[in-house]
Amino acid sequence: MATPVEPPNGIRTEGKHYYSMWQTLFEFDSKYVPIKPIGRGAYGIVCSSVNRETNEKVAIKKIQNAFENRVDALRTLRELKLLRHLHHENVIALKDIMMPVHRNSFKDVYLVYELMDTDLHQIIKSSQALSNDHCQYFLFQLLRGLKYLHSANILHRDLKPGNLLINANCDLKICDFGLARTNCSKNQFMTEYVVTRWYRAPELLLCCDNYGTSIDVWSVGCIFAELLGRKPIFPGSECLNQLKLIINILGSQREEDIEFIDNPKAKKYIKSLPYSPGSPFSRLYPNAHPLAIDLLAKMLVFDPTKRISVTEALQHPYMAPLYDPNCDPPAVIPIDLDIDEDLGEEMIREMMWKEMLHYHPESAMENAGLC
Amino acid sequence: MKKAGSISSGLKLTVPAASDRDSFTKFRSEPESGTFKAGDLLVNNEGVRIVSENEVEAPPPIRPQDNQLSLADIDTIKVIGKGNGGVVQLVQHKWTNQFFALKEIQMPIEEPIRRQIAQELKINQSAQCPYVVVCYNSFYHNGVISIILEYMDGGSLEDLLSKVKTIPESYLSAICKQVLKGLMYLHYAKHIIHRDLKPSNLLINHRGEVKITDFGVSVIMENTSGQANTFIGTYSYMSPERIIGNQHGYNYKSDIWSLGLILLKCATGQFPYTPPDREGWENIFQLIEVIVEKPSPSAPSDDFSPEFCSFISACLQKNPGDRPSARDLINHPFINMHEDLNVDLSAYFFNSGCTLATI
Repeated sequence: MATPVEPPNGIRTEGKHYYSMWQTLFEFDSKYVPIKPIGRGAYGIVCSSVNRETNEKVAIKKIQNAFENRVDALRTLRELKLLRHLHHENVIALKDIMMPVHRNSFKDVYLVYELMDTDLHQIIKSSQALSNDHCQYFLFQLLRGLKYLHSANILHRDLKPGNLLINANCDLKICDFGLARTNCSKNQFMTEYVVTRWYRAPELLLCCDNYGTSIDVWSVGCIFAELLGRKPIFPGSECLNQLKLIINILGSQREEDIEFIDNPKAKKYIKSLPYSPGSPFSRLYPNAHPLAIDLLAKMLVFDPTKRISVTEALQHPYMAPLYDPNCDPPAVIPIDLDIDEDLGEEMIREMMWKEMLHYHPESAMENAGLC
Repeated sequence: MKKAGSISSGLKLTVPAASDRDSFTKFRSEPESGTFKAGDLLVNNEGVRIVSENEVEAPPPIRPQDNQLSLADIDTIKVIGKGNGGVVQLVQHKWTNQFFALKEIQMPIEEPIRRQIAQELKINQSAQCPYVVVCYNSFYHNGVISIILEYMDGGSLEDLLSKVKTIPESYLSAICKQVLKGLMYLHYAKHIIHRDLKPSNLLINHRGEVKITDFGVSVIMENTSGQANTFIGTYSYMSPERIIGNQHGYNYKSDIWSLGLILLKCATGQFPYTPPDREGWENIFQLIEVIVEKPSPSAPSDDFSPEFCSFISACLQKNPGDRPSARDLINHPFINMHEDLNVDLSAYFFNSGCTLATI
C-alpha cells in the first residue's frame, strides 16, 4: 500500500507530502491522500486517491522522468493541451496537474484524472458475461465520444480496449490522447509513431500520405469485433502479417477497392498477396445480433473512402435504441493545438508549466507579479 | 439523454476486484538491503554462505538450474542496452560477485504476446548449449518479467562492427562456425526458428565466444517508449519467403538467409541492400520490393575468396528449397579453410576495442 515517508534530502516542501508505492516515491499536493496503486503503464504508475477538499476519488498518474525521452515528452504535452479543451461524458477528464516545486528543473509530472473502475481490455478478457445490450451500450458511448472528437477535427489514432475506461455502471470514457492530432486538410507531414498495430487501419499500414477520421472508425470496428469474439480480430505479429490477417478475413480486394493506396509499391504488395475468399463476420460471430454484424461489416471496410463514418454509424439501426441526434453538441476547440515536433526539452518543460497554470489560477497570479 | 439513461440504469458489470489483479497480488515491500562480509563468509537477511576464493577463469560458481539465484541477491550496476522489448542491465551477484545480464520486460496486456513471452521463457530455461546465451532464471513481479541471463562482456556483433567497420574473412569464418553450431542446436535439438537473427542478437565475450540471444520470439515487440517505427530494423534481415508469406512459408531456412546478410554486412561494412536514393528508404514497401524482387546480394569476387562468395551465395538463395541447412553449411569450405590458422577471436575482440566489463 501507500506508505508515508520523509521527503528526499530531508527538505519538506509546504503544501506537499510524500508516499512510497511500488518502490517509487510520490510527491503529492497535501489535499490528495493515496489509497492504493492500481496500475503500471509504459509511462508511469497510477494510484487511486481521495481529494480531501471535495471527498472525490481520483486517479493520479506519476510520469517519472517525463523529459528523458523527447518523443514521450511531446506525447504528454499534447495530451495535456488537448484534454484541457475536451469536455464530454465519454472522454476522460483531466482534473488537475500538480505544480512542481522547481519550475525550470522539474523531472516528474503528476496528472489527476477522474477515477474509473477498470478498462475494456480487462472486461473483455474477464469471465464477465456481455450481452448484446452491453455491446450496444459500449459501442454507442465510444461512437458518441468519437463524434465529439471528430467534430473538433481531432483524430485519436490509438483507440484500443485498454484506452477505454469503464465503471460498474457501464459508463465508458476514451483516454490516452498522446497520439491524437488535428485532421489538417493541408498536407502536413505527420510523424508515424508506433501504436498498437492490431487496431491500425489499412491506410496506415500501407503508408498512405492522406488519412482522416476513418482510421478511428477502423479501430472502433476492431474493438467492436473484440467485444463480440472476446479476442482480438487481427492480432498481427508485425506490419506485413497484420495486412495478411486483414486480407484473410475481408478477402482479397478488388481493383476499385485499392485505388485509395497512393503508394505504388504498397499497392503492388497488396496485389501480390495470395488470393483469399474471406470469412463472413456472421460465421466469425455466430451469436451476434444481425444488426451488429451489419454495422461491423460497414466499419471494417478496407477502403477508407467507403468505410462508414462515426455519424453514419450512430444513425445505423443497431444504434437506434440509444441514439438521439439532438444530444450531441460539437466540441469548440481552438485550431492551434499542433505542437512543433522539433521542440527542445526546455521549451517542452516551459509549455507544460503553462498548461499547469490553467489548473492553478493562484499560481498564475504569483507569476504575473514576478514578471 | 433519457434513452441512454433508461438503458444504462439496467446494465451492471462485476468489476474485477483489486486483489484479482496480478500487479496487486504480487505487491510486496522492498527487501532489506545489507550484507555483512568477513573473508569468505557472507551474511545477509536470507542466511549465511561461505564463498570460496575466485580463481581467474574458474568455472562460474552459479550454474544454470542451480536455483541459487533470486532478485534479492542481485546488485544493479548499469544499463547496458535496450533489447527487443526490454531494458538490459549489468548486475552482480552479492555473494559470488558473478556478473549477469538482467533483462526486464514490461508485461504487455495483449494475451498472445504474453503467451509468446511465456514460451520464450520456457525455451530459454531449458537451452543448454555453448553457442546460445544462457538463461539462469526468471521472475515475475509487479507486472514486470525479469530474466537473468549470461553476461556477454563484449556486447554484440553490432557493437563490434561500430568499432571495426569490417571483419576479415578468417575471423568471420570462426564467428560463423559458432553461430552455425548455435543454429544447429536451435533447429535440430530444440526445433526453434529464431526469426530475428541480426548483428545485435549475436553476443560476444572476452573468451572469444559468440552466442545467439533473443530467440523464439515470433512476435516482434512494440517499442513502448513511442520511438519512431524502425521498419528497417524489423524487415532488413527477414527472408523473402517470410515477407511474401507464401503457403509453405518459412522454416529453419529463414534463419540461414539472415545469417548470409549478417556475414555480408560484416565483410563489406554495410548492409547489402541500399536505398535507391541517398535519403534512405521511403517506406517499408520499397525495402521489401527490393528484397523480394531484385536479385540476391552477393559478395564481390574481386574482394573476397571464392569460398566466402560461395558461402554467401548458398545462404542467399531466394528459394528456401535451394538454401542449405545449418548442418550442411558447417561442412562448407569457407568454414573449414581457416581451421589450421588457429584464429584467435579472443585477441581480436580485445584489440578491436570492445568494451569489456569495467566497474
